[in-house]
Amino acid sequence: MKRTLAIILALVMIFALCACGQQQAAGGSNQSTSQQGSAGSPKQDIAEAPAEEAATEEAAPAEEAADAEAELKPVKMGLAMQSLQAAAFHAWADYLQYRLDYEAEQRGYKVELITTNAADDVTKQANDIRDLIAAGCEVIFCPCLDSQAILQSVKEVHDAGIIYVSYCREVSHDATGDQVPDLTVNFASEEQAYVGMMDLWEIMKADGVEPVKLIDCYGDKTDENAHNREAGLQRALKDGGYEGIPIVEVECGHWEPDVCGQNLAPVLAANPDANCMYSSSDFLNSGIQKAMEDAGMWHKRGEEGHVYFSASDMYPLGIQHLREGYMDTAVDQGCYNFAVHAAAGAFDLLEGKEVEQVQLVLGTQSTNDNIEEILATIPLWGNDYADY
Amino acid sequence: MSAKLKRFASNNKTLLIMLGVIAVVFIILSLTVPNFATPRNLTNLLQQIAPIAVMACGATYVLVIGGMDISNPAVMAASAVVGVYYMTTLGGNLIVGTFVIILTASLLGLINGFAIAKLKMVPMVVTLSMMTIGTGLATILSGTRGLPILPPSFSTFFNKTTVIIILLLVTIVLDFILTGTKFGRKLYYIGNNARTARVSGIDSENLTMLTYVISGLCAGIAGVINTASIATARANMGPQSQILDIISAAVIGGVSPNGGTGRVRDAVLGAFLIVGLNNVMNLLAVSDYYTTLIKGGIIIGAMGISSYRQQQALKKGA
Repeated sequence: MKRTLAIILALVMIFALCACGQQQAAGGSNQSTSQQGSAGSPKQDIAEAPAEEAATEEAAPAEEAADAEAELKPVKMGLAMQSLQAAAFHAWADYLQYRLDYEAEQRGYKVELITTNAADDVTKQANDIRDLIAAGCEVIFCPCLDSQAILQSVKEVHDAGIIYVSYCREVSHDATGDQVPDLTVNFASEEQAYVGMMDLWEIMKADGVEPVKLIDCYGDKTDENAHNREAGLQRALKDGGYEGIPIVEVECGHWEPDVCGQNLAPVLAANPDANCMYSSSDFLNSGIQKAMEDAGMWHKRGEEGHVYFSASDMYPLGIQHLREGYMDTAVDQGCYNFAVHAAAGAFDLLEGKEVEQVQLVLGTQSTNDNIEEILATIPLWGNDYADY
Repeated sequence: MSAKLKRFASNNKTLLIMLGVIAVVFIILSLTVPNFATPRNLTNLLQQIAPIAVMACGATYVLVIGGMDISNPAVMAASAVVGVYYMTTLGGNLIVGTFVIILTASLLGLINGFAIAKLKMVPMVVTLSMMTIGTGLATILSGTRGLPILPPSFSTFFNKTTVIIILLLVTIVLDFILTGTKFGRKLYYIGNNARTARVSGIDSENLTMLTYVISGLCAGIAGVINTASIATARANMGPQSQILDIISAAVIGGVSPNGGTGRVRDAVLGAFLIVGLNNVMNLLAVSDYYTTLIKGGIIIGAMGISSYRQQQALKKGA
């Protein structure tokens, strides 16, 4: 009986592995087009190209299509995600798959993208990258979990003769030689914070309010994007002429809304005179909202006691807070544009072309005054993932 | 000869079943999964298995005496951070730093053991608290921007080959101690019936304390391996979810969560199945969601078999 049970367990394992492999293979042949038209940026217009391709495909006989398929050069790529816990991370992965398929079709390739999930485990991300190297990937995209700990992996990728694209995150500026990615496509994160805060100063000026004290919710001290946004905030304070105002910093763990909320609560209690706030990401807004509600400081613009609030990213909750007037300014991540640049850059590198090594993308700039207009005209990523 | 073989088969049922399952799975995967049976992937696989397998070795000792240590991943991360802090921030020697990692983990294990054996505290509560302490310690020492990168010589020394040798050595030594020495046999007695063991003159308290030290020591060795893997250390290199991999590797290998049975070598083979699953799923480009689903299924299956075995043993005993 024991033997039988052991055999059943082994068979279940084997069948499960086989079944999943087949399922993925079937899924892989259906290229995702669900993001078509959701450009995520007004500058991006890709709706026409797929429509043209669809018309061409209809006209071509099935045999020709099969021949054309056979002529496509197969290429395997890997995406070592740091986590899939947030809506934006899904957007990064989905949009990249879409744009890689699009670029591949344009250039005569058939791309297979293997996506792994490190689930916030820095060691697992290193192991996932090793698996992707072993799987025969020619390009590896990676939003690193830790900008310094990833340097060893970047070196290993280069040692294996593979292209490394730092995707939506930057590696540490301490990187040298083989630790430097072949291509970095990231938010213009410093600019994101700077632009958002400059808009906030304008709004405060228009409302006749002078910044007295600023609360700064620092997203993650091991993420270069958070550091860059901090630099943007400092630049905005300087350029806005508010260098001298007191700043109270709130640590938010590793982009953890609950940690942010827990740490913000005592800060609000100790600083009831703070009248403006910046958050590295509105992903933290659920924690921020809770702490501010508890402190009696969560008021819409125009209401007494409103804390002027700017954040980066425009997650679904951020968009909602902008519309409701709890948040005043924000700059979108521009997720789709990351994918556009990363996919094009990866294929260029694969084909031996030169690319601009660091490409920074700035998303859409929004305020409480123009958010409705923007939503009506621009397909923001946060809207695509509103139901997440 | 055949009698000897029969006796060997009878004494090593779990080993033979595990090897059989691994062999079948290996052959099928080699034939069906591209890039699986390549030297690069197989050495990758061993390198990835090593930290979990080493911690499963330590967990086996604790489980054999009927204890529980859920602090392993946090102890691993904390000790690694302490060692890397010594090697980078304090400018310490790399060899000494390696021992600092192992000693720190052993010390944390000793604290666990002391609280459980001498102060009679509940293992789950003690090790849960140690998990929090370990994570806190690692976070504090990591600082706001994380510890710097180690010199390349650290990762070069603890390369794939060294890691595989460490895994083999730890497995052989700890398996021998558990099954081939008086000390090991006493641990099985404690696990089977702690009261009887005590009445028989076995020093349960000190032996229990020692098993938690061994568990900590193994976490330290895993910390060294993981540190070499990323050339630094972080608080999040030992996520709490990792304890499930460690315990389930041991249970799949036939170690009873109720104590008294199990071997180190079988727990290591269990780790091959648990960690190997991630590798195969990555090669097959299977979504992470399926991986966790299948892993969960395998763990429940293994727990079911373990429970069934125990019931059968009880029936036989009755």
